[in-house]
Amino acid sequence: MSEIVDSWVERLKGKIEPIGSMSHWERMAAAFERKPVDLIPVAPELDYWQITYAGYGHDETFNDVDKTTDSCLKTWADLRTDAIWIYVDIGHQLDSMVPPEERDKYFQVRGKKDYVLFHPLTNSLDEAIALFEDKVYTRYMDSSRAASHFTPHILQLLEFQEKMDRTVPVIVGCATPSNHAEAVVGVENFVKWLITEDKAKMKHYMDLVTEERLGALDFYNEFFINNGAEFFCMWGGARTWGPRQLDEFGYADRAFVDKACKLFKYPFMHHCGKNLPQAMEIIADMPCKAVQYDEPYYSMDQDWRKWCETAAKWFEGKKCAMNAPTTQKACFAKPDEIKRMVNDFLEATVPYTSAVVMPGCEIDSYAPVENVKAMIDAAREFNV
Amino acid sequence: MADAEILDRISDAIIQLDIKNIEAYTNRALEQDCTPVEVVTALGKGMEITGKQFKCGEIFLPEVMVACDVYKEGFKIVFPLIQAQTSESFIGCIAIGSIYGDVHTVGKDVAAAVFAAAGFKVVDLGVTVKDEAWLQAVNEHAPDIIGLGTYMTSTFMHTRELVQMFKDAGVRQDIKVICGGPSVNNETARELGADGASGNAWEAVEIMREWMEQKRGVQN
Repeated sequence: MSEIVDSWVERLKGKIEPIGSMSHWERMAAAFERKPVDLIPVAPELDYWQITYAGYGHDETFNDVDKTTDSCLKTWADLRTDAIWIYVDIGHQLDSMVPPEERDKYFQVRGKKDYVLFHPLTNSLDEAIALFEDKVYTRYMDSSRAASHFTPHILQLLEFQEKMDRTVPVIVGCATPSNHAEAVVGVENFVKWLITEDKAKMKHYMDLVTEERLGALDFYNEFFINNGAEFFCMWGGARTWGPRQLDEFGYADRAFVDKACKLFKYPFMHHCGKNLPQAMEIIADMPCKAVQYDEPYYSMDQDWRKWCETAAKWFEGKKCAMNAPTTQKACFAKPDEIKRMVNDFLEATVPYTSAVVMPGCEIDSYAPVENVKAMIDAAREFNV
Repeated sequence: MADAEILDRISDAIIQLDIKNIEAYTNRALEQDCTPVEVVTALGKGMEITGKQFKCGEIFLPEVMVACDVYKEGFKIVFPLIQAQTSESFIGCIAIGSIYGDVHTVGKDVAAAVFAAAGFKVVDLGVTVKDEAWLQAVNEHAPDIIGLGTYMTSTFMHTRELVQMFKDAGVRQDIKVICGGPSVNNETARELGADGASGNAWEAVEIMREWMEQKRGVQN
């Protein structure tokens, strides 16, 4: 029981106008199953944007999960997107590996409105291996490797989901092995080591991280699936890898996706950054139901619409496609341009597969409210 | 071994990501009386080919990052020799770093190596550079260009504050400001007060070369 959840349920339940003929949950589920929808679902990853939209900052939400939950629910009440994203900073991955009194020094926060970053735990592959061999991740959060100070926040949102009679889904997320392996040591180090370090040693590191991540899914099963979570985002790393690295080390994410897809009903892959065709084709064959993807790798010379069509063809008969506008456009473009971009994505996608309007990465905290509203309006106005 | 051969080996070491031998090749070239400029040119040629391979999708960011490290290993040997020469040896000077709040070094490290290889004097301020440190760099190094690296969209938005700081300090007219990183876009960079932006280091070199030609034209 949570007071913050109850106060929002009291304000919203039975008092908000329905949108379309389906509930938000039904709309998202139908899109994931590639079945007809009344409206195109729209579920941008609002991330830190929703914290600042609600008037909070990192310090407040890091130390007070009620404020984190309040941000997400206030934003949803105002915008009525088709899903509520949990809010977590990178601490949700690393909390369990760092003593609580030392966590502050790993954060890099410029100002109240700025995205929260996290310094790597180590710059050494040997030290990183030792962290995982010693199972450091069982030390600092009640021995649960995936537990973080955000766990109560996620449980609050799931409580809201249930108390609203599952009319709107909550999206829970977890980093894949490639993402986690990079976060612990810094992407910069990791991608270089893929080439310069001994392959067996790198594989050992990836295997250790994979073991930890697969264990993290057990925690997600116990705490979140058992409390109603069905929509699950797998935050992928490997965003700068080339085909050779994908061949050599892609197996780790594959193992994670296989397990997650057996646990969650609506799992999807998040692959942001400049997308390589090879990575997209690998993801298209993974067992997840949808893919949140981003821009094309720039040397492909495909315009936005063509790129969306290419991706839709990869996903045809296999996946729901989730994109638009790009994260950068969501922040910098004018509302009309955002609407055009969403429209182009939908027109290029729906002939082949189902679609959700969901930019490939999080909405930046500096994105104007009008821009977020423009992408929602574009989805609602699209003729299905 | 003839001079040309050892210089080719230096270029090839970058393309082949041969970090183990670049130091030996560079020293050997200098022992064989190659000039520091010839060595730097060979290093630059390797980086230029790396850039072409990257552009056409033959290689990807991991390979580019290692190529940059190979370049830097060679360059650090000849840099003191080059530094001893007059500033006319360089096309121009750029002070580069990532804006305060951004801890990523991927793009900045690649850009620093590519700019140096293209003939720019590079003052690398590092990552998460505090605002006042940019101004200090302008006063200390008198760069022609300031390179604001941003991986995150939110740090890119601080371009406006930094440009205003340069204006307030009375140095804006002395420098060009270029933004770099995957989140930047030329139009927005200009709206934020910068002179340009690029998400590709080799493309940025072309922009900066043009600026330096314009500057020299004005000075002449």
